[in-house]
Amino acid sequence: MRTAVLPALALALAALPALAQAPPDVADILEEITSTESLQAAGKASQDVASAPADVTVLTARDLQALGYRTLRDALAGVQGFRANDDRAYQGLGMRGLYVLGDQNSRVLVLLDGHALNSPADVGASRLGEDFGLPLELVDHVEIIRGPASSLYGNNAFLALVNVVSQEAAGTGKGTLAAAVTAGSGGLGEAWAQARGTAGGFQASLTASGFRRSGTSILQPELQSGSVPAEADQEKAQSLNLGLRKGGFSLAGFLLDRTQSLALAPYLGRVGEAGNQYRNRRMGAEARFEAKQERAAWTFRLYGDRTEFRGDYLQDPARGGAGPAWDRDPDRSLGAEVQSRLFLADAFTLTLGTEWRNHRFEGISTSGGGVGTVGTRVAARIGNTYAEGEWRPAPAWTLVAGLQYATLTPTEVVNTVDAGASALPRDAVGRTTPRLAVIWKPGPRDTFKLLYGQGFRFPTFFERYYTDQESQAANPTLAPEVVTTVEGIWSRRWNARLRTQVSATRFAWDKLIYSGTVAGEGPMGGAVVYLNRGERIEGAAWEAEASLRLGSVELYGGLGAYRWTADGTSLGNVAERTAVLRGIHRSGSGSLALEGRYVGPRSLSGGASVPGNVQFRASYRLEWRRSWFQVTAEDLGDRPRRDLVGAEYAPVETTATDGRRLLATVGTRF
Amino acid sequence: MFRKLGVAALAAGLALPGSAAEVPPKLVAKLLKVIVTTAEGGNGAIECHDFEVKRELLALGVNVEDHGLVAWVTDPQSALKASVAHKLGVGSSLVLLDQGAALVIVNEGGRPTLYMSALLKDNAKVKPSDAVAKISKVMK
Repeated sequence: MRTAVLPALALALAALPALAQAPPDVADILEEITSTESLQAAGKASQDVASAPADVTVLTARDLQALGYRTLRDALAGVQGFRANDDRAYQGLGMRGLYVLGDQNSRVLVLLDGHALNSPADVGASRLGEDFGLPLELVDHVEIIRGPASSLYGNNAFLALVNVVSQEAAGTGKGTLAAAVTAGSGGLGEAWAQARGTAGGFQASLTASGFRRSGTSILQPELQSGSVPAEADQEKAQSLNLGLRKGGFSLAGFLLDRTQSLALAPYLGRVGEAGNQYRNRRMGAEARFEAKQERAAWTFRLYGDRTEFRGDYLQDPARGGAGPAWDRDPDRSLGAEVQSRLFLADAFTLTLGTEWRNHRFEGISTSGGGVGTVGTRVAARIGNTYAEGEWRPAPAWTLVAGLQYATLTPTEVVNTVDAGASALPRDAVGRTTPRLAVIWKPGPRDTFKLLYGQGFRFPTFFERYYTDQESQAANPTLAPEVVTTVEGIWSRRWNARLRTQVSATRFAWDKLIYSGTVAGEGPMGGAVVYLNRGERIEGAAWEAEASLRLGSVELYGGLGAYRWTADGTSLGNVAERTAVLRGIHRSGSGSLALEGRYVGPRSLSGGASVPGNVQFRASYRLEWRRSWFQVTAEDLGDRPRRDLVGAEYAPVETTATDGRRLLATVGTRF
Repeated sequence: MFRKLGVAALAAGLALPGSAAEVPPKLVAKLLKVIVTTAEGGNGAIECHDFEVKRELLALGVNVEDHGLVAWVTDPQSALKASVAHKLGVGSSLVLLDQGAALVIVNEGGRPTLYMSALLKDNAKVKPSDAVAKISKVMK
């Protein structure tokens, strides 16, 4: 017996190395490849996530749909490193724990199919909520870069870049006719319809959507009335998107019209007055041609945008206001980009590009007081020229080095008061931005990235030049703000089911632009003026993420710890801890998704603070061949969510954000 | 400068069309390697004239030859040519399924996805393996 066992044991031990080295099954290899996410945004060319010289997350259509996200802000707030901030004037997006109060999302570049939605004028828009303009159901995937990307994209790619790829651009999506209707609590209603077709080799699509929210009553004990009525919190939006594509040629256009009542009545408005409102009207079009030759790939873009922001305020004499006031801020631009990718050798690719954009912005306002009608007219040219090389000296190593030069050249800056006009200084601003990345893949499972990058943001026209001669002063010497980051990432694919990533990042942020006040007792004393912060802001972020698939259940978890200081003192409105956990169970035609997010407490140096809170989301979706039904419950935490509010936007320091909502959607496609 | 740009635009106009959201060449090459090495009746070689994909295939040790019975096709002309030659045409966009490609590799929801033509999959001398057929979505 003993003699038989020993040879069998020896044989089994001898076979172990062979078993361990057995080639993986073809099905496993295929599953691994087809579960690998890819993106265009990191290098302006298609790359898989592990090869991209950036810290990247891709939200797929399957996940977006299963979780029932209705707005881009909702979707991004579920990504580790982001957090939503709602001061009821702007739907802001904090990054790595920090949100600069009053930021109109000018530090995150938002692209729709590669077309920048941010504007250098940047007045009254976040592009993350109802002012995004495309239903998320029609999005193919969302590419997210955590960290600066100015070395390719220039202005605004400061803390993050978000590229939303529509089904139309990706050439995906099903059916020729699709439509959906959503009804929800808080008087929420949304409907969209899309028609797609092919004729003469052209693929065309037309999407129309409408949204309406009757508002929620907000408890604000600090205000005299104790609450803000629902009528003062209404919102409505309509949008139209058009796409046309043939081979490498595409044409896309959009129209958006959104009106939002201002519940907290900024600019001295009377609280609870439904007539206090913002209206954003945006239209844009882009023609793009992409072509490939033997050793080169080309992209040509020609685009134009027109945005019009309009604010109406019924000013409250009790707050120092003077009756009805308004502002109108039309902004239009025309731009072009040429980009080439040159495959110079088997292991070396060079990307070269240049983009030029001409802007005209006009800000006109009246306070209803003694100043009369005042205006600011700005014409400027923004240039962005970049070069980036990718070299693979060995199969396991990729080195990326890039350099970009950007300029902002004002050609006209004029302030007008009634009939009179005066020119302001037209100082041009230039900025050189580098990028370095080392990517090491010692084996099929592990990827190590060391990333060095910079982001910059030119002062917006509003921040640098706008003045109403009364409550806001211009600052023509305002300089761009710059952030420099160094990040180390280790990501590992343990097996076909488990993936993890840990990262550590350090930030150095110079010349942060913030809203201060004009010193002194002069005619503009106490008015808002945008300034550069003198001292450097330093930040650190530690993040960990894991995704696990257990049969039909997909789990994702993320944890983040953040620290932001200036001169050794913690910055305001920083959530030092954030976490997200979600699970999606799919079976047959149904899916059940649950998500919980934690955002740590935040405070301001003045003493205002909000507690940490947990936000929940649950969504159940049933999908049939030609239709789907979905019910979603949002934010069912038992503690009311609150966010901090910028002093220039409200008479309160903290406010309740939309807490609880139930949504039901019915959709069909043919 | 504008003259040079014009010449470049004209040259590009004569080139192959690109795609807005294509699958990265590295992932395409990995999928093509599986398709070529597991296909029934194949000769282990692939025809590929796309430089980016070709260099990734060569890095993976795949034999790239014009006589390969699997062909990577990126435009209607090469898709039709592969179909006429009874090669297994693998294309880079969905529209090529109607134009001669038996399989296409597209980016759907941020991930590579295979589609197979029910009409053309039996036209080629080589057949995709069961593993490839199993993960492919069939278009009728």
